[in-house]
Amino acid sequence: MSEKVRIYSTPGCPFCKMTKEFLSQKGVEFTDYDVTKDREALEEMRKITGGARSVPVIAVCNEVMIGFDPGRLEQALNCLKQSSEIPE
Amino acid sequence: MPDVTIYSMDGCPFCTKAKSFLKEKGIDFVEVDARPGSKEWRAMKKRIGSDSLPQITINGEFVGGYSNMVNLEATGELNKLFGLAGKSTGSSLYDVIIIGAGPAGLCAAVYAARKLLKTLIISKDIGGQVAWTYDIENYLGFSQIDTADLIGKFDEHVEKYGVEKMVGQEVNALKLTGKIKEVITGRGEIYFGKTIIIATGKRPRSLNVPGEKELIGRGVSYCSTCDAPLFAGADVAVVGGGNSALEAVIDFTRVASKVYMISLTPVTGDPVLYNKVRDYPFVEILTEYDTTRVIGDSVVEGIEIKSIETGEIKKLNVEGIIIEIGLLPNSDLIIDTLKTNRTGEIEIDNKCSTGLSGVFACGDVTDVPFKQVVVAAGEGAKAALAAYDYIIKQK
Repeated sequence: MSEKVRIYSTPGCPFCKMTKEFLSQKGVEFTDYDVTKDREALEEMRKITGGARSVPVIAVCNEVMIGFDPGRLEQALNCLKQSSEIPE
Repeated sequence: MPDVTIYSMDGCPFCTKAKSFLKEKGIDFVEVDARPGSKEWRAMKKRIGSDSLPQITINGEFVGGYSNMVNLEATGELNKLFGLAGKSTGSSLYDVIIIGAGPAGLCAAVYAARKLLKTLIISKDIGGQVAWTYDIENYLGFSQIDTADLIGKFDEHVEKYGVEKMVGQEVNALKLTGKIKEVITGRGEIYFGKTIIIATGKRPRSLNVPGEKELIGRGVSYCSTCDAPLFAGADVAVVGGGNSALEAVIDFTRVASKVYMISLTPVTGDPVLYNKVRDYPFVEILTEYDTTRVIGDSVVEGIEIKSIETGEIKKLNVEGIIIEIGLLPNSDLIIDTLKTNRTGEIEIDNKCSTGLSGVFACGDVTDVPFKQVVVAAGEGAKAALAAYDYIIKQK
């Protein structure tokens, strides 16, 4: 997966929605996977978390978080700034 | 520096307020004694068409009285007129520090800002418990609104007044007994306030049994609507006996192959829901069982329960455990300092006072009945107005 920010969510999950709002407000691009419809994404989510059964799961650069924690997510997003400042 | 003139007289309370307001902002001004009937007063009346005191002009432009100035300050317009870039930071002592940013804390912030109190909100999130639901249908003015939209509107309203906000911050300790209160954050920063408003809300109660914390997100869940779809074809247990537990059971009947409902007490939820749950063939209800352990290394593999009557221990093989045993007030930081009721809610009087001078509380963390968004918002307004009254009386 090449996307820098991925979110694994379910449709009835308010915390997933909050996470997406949070990212949108910060102008962060992300890919949203609805794990109720996308079995592959569900398996991927369980693989990267070592068996999580809770959403949202958020993957930012190399960090994987279970649950929406704005403080932690904000910190994790720093990796995006750093990579954009350094020319590739 | 702008050219500021204030027409005033001795013994006029709003003249005094306007002058001390300008002094606090560090604005120099020329004072004109314009006692009614005086030559200056007549000149003022002729020039600006009003005869009440005080009257303020900035660079010759007529601003109005004290309340006009306060309104301009609240919207940030005044700083523009004064040529101050952004909000002046002033001293690091806040008039009010609000802890928590749910409906209670955010509404308190709006009211505090409109009273021109130097206000800081510290919160780990925006929205608080409202964010746990998907939409709201009983907030006045909105017959149906998406929760995120409502929280967005609350936040926008607070933003309009330029209240300082620190979101994503935990509060580690509070020193409330002195005249100046101290708030110590998880990052070790200290903030000082003349008053504190505690609006920390509630959180889901946990079982406090071995294995529970370790396996949160790995089979242990507190949000059935979020996580139910992840348990397709699995056996799960719902712990709790109230309406939330019954609703969680219903959520799981759509996906799971077997649902255990485990309650310490007989089921206390509404008969309508209970009857619905009892009719499902693959739901097994185990009442008067204590949950003693969550089993599993890296993911949930089972749950251990103990019969209250016989002491018999049972192990159920489940992949998911949903805990719906009610809410706990976030009052841990003040439990030794403030008076709380037996469920840990902060006891307040009808002006949101905790009994400790300068310390107010509002919303679901308090013993005010009926935990509703609209009630919490109203209580927030009361707490801010009470804090304002307190500050005025201190001067």
